[in-house]
Amino acid sequence: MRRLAVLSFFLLAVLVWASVAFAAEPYEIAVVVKIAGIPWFNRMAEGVEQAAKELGVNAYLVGPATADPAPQVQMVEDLVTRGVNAVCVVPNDAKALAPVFNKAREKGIVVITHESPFETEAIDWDVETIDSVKYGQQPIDAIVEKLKEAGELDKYTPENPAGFVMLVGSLTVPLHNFWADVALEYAKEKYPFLKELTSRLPTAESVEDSRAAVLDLITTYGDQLKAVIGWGSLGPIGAAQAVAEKGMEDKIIVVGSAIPSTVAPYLRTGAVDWAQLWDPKDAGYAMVYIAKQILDGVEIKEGMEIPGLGPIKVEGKVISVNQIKIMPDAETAEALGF
Amino acid sequence: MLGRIAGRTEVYLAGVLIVLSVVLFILNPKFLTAENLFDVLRNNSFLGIVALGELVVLVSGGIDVSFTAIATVAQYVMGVIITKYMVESVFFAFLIPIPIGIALGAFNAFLVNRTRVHPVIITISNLNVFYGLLMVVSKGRWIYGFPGPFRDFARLKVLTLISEKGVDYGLSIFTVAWFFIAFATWVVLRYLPIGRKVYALGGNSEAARRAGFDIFRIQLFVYCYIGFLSGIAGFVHAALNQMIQPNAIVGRELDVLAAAILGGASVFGGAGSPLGVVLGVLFIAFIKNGLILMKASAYWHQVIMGLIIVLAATLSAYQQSLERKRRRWV
Repeated sequence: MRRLAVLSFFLLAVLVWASVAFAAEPYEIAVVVKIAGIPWFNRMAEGVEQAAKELGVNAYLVGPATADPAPQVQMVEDLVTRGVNAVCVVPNDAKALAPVFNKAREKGIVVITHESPFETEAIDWDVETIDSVKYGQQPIDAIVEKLKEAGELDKYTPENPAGFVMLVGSLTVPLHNFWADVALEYAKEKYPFLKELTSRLPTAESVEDSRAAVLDLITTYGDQLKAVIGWGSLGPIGAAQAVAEKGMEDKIIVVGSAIPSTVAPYLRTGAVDWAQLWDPKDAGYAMVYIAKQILDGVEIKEGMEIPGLGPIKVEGKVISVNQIKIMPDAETAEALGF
Repeated sequence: MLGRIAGRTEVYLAGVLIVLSVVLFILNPKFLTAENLFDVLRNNSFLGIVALGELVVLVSGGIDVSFTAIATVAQYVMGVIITKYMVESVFFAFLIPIPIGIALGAFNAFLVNRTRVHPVIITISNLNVFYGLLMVVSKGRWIYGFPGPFRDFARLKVLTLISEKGVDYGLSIFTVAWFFIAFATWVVLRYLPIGRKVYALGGNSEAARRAGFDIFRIQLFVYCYIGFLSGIAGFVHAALNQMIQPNAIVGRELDVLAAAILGGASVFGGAGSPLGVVLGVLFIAFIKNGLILMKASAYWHQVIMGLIIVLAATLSAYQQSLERKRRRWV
């Protein structure tokens, strides 16, 4: 009996100590990405760690082993049960996450997403580090610029258009398809001499598939095909290989999203003509920063400054800063350092 | 005699392939240009090579879904070595992935034989083990910027033609490798004792056991064979894409299984031929190529692809059941 009493006292002491220790703990902010361990999200982790150090919070990045909705939902569920202060999620499937987001917010946990500006019902804020409309329009401007440089601009009219094709990650990636829609609209309005030859192809998450698709497109459309836009980061790489295989570096303009270090060699040979992207490190930093502000009770409003990233724009539940990194040549791409 | 030939899966598949080609040709005459066909063959050499490995495993009555991870591990190790030491010899680079593939295949065979657990479970687990370990060690880092000779090798052609635009095209070395492997696999399965034993094991494992066959040796052979071909395919994949990504190949198991089964390999073992599998891969390749050439919207690609495969597989199964019935009556 005495032993039991000692034991209970001991246990109680530990519990009290633990709760005191936890109370003194800084905010716990978990960033849950699509898939752990790939270079993109390793770069994002750098931003999260930087924010953790600068803001004095316990922020860290985790993610499932495969980029599937189910394990990610499970992971967020566990974090909510454990009672973190904020979850920042880069969703594999925003719809699938909605129930657990609702549960989190009922418990007073701050919910932030990234790369998901369209499914904002169940969240507090979505953080973007690009202006999505600009991101969709710029490749079209880049193509026109390249046509101008080649002195071919006068050649094309709405009756004799310059053809282009777009590659997306899949037909269900909301952002890729949003950019593609914006680009189409923009081209139609501003440059009627550009024409989409065939509806977007879902190959841009794979070098192999993009290469094969662009080879097929060259066979199908011949000289009509003037440009390829890749919205997923491997689209331009695969397209560049196809174009180089056919010796058409000077004839076909390849533009789109690409990781700087990967695309630099292709920019050097001219197989890729222009690329853009945002830095996942910025996104990681921005999410944790915003989460911290909300937990501190600061009101989120237009013009608020994120250190190093500039003032924010607020539209509905979407917070954005415009940090598109443009890569017109290999040197610029290499200087970005990721 | 004619009846015997006409009843075979390969003949039937070849017929379907010819009809498909004619349809595609009518829809877009560019389909049947040498340049397009050479491109299609080259682009599908990776798929073609691993499908032949899968065939041998299926014939033995086993199944292997870990080959994508084996090919990935093999090509990744090769990529690390050749970029770190800037290995100029393509032949040396080619030799790196092969022993890795064989070793991982042997590991599969050992577990399949000793645990007596169904090979689907063993190889799915090993897929995760091999791939998971690679992700831990590599942190998913991509490898690119290969030495010059490795880049040039990917463009090597056995037969070179010049298009009217002055660009050279032709029969890629990888296509030749694929067809040579198909031929070698045919010789092994048909004429070598071990090949006959593979059919015997797949046809009736109990009979093979009672006949005194060393089951482990046969299993070791088939899983090492697919490991060996996965190693070669990993090399081909890396050379074709000039980039090694740990997650590029994993996830394509079903494409390969579909091609093998379409080509007449049976999931119950004992049936299938290399020629059939080559035709099965070509069938899928032609549809993929044709969908773009037909200017079909990408929203329809998957639907059409799925429908055609279901149709072909159903017809093939029906035709096989007819053949079995015929045999029973003879």
